[in-house]
Amino acid sequence: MKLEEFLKLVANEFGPGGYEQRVVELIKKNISKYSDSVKIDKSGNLIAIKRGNGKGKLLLEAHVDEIGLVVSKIVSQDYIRIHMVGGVDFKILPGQRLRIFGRDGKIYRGVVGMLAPHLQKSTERNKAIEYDELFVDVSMNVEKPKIGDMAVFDVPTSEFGDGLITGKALDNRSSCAVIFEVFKSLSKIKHEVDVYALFSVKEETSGIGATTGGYAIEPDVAIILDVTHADVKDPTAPDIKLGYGPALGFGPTVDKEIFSDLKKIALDNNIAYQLEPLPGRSGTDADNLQLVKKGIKTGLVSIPLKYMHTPVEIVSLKDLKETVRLLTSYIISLNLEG
Amino acid sequence: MFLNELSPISGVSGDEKRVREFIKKTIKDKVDELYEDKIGNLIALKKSKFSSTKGKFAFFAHMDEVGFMVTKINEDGKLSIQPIGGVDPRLLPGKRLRIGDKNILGVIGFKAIHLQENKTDVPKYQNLSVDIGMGKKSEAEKLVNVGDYAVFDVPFEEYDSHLIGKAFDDRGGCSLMMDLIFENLALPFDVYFAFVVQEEVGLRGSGIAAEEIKPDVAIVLETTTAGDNPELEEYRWATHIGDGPAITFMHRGYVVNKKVYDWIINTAERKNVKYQYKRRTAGGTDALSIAKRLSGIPAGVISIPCRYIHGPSSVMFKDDYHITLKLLKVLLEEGEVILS
Repeated sequence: MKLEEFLKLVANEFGPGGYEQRVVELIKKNISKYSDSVKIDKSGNLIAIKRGNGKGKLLLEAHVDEIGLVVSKIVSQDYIRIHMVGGVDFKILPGQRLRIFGRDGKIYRGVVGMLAPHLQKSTERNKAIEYDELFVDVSMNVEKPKIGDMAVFDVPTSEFGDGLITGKALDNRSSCAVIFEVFKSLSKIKHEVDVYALFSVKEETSGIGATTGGYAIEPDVAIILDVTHADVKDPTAPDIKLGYGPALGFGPTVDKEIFSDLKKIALDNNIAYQLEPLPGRSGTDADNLQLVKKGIKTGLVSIPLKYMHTPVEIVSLKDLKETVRLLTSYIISLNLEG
Repeated sequence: MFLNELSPISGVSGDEKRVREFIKKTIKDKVDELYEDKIGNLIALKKSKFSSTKGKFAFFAHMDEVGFMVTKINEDGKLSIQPIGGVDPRLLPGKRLRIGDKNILGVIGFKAIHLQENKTDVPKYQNLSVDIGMGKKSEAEKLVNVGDYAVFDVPFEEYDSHLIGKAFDDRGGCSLMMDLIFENLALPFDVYFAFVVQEEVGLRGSGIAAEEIKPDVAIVLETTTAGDNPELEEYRWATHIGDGPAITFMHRGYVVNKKVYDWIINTAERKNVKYQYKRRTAGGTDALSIAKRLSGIPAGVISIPCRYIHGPSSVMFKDDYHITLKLLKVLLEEGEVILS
């Protein structure tokens, strides 16, 4: 399966924090043939191993969970209320169609309602509609969703524009697709280190999966894969653009040596990259993984992404491919023996 | 019902050609006359089989939907848009659009929640733009033009009891007229069906069609706002879903002709067809522009109630549609009353 096909497949799947089983199973099914072993741990993380010559342990980590919504109240047969799981801007919700995954295994439809302009008072027009006032129409379901059921946006994943992909959950299924592609290439390449892939759960809510997964694996080196804001028009924001390669993070949560190794690999192999200064914490699983056990050396590679946490996130296929090249070259170069 | 086919078609006011072509192609063998007028209205005639008929009856529904127009292609390749008809800008963030004749995909992104300073700032057209995935103006210009029309990119969905989609206002009315044409009813008089343009930009097409047809009585078929949601007190609802067609006694600029209004209500009562009143007088329909034509055409308004019209995900209750269709059929059977 091609990188973009795999990305579409996993981005369309349902998996908000705590309910990642469907995504985890989907990745497991596809990555098994490129791995020496795969297992799902107690926390629900997926761990795939591709053995080298046992000369050290490298961890590639990406969180599989996405932002979502949870049914918080039943108003009537026709209406429910929702709240966010991870950071979901209420301003993107009106008019949105939702897929609600019942814990009973059924999938329900929801439509986030919005009063038509004809009936709005002028005083209501200039107001953002927050969670307390948002309502979801579930009238079209014969059976109804229940409190605690989780929902995600129902939007397709589409290729468009100049080699771009738009859809939901590209944060962080893009990174999952990159690791999948790295494993595919490792099956044809000789490498010394054992490579562990950790597809971790519950990042958007707190980062539990990376901590527990990292604890079990105890790698010598860990590379965290996540997404980062691209094309931000803020004078103090780093100059990260879509289509200019992965962003290499550096700052307190990133090991200096790993950062400079990655940068050197990129330069030596003519791989496009960008720099992401991270004053303070990174807001990724790197922050958690660095402090596991007696500390783990972590690097951070981020895929530029626009409109994060919306149903129309955008990534560049070129950035994904360059990230695959960077990681593959890094793995080949690595020998952690002694 | 043709709503499944009508809803996905792009047909913003002034750009109704695809809707018109679909209707034309579908009904052409079912009508006695079919023509397009100067402004783009499509007019169909079903003749009565009886030799002496008392006059002309006409149904009207508008083909156009609300949408957007590309007003500027910016240096960064993003498009500025303005609404055509009333589309609440608060519906736009995080949505997909289809733009122009080439159906180019565009997305309306929004500043990530992590980066927002004031989370309650209201989205406005001035600070929204459409991203078509091109980083430069010169590249974007290869895909879209200033003046291109755009609509929400959403599928039509059918469930056991409900429908979800865009443009139900007023493809619902168009679908009702197509159903009536396909019913092959024994009409007691000639019936015209006017699929009109430019309703959403000020009721502009229907008057021309009325001038062409010169009907003795007209009924406008609409899809109208249901207010039955938990954020709106019941006293503010205009209609609600589940209780059949909404009958208008008055709306902006037009008190419905008393004879026509009484005829609709009395027929529904006598034939035991469920109906509700449209309980607010805000908003207008083509009945106003029709009533101004000739020496005053008596016009009535019957609407399918529908939630979230003018948005990407309107919700219609199928029974409401079918009960509306039933009311129209009994009105045709009883139409002699109004034409005599």
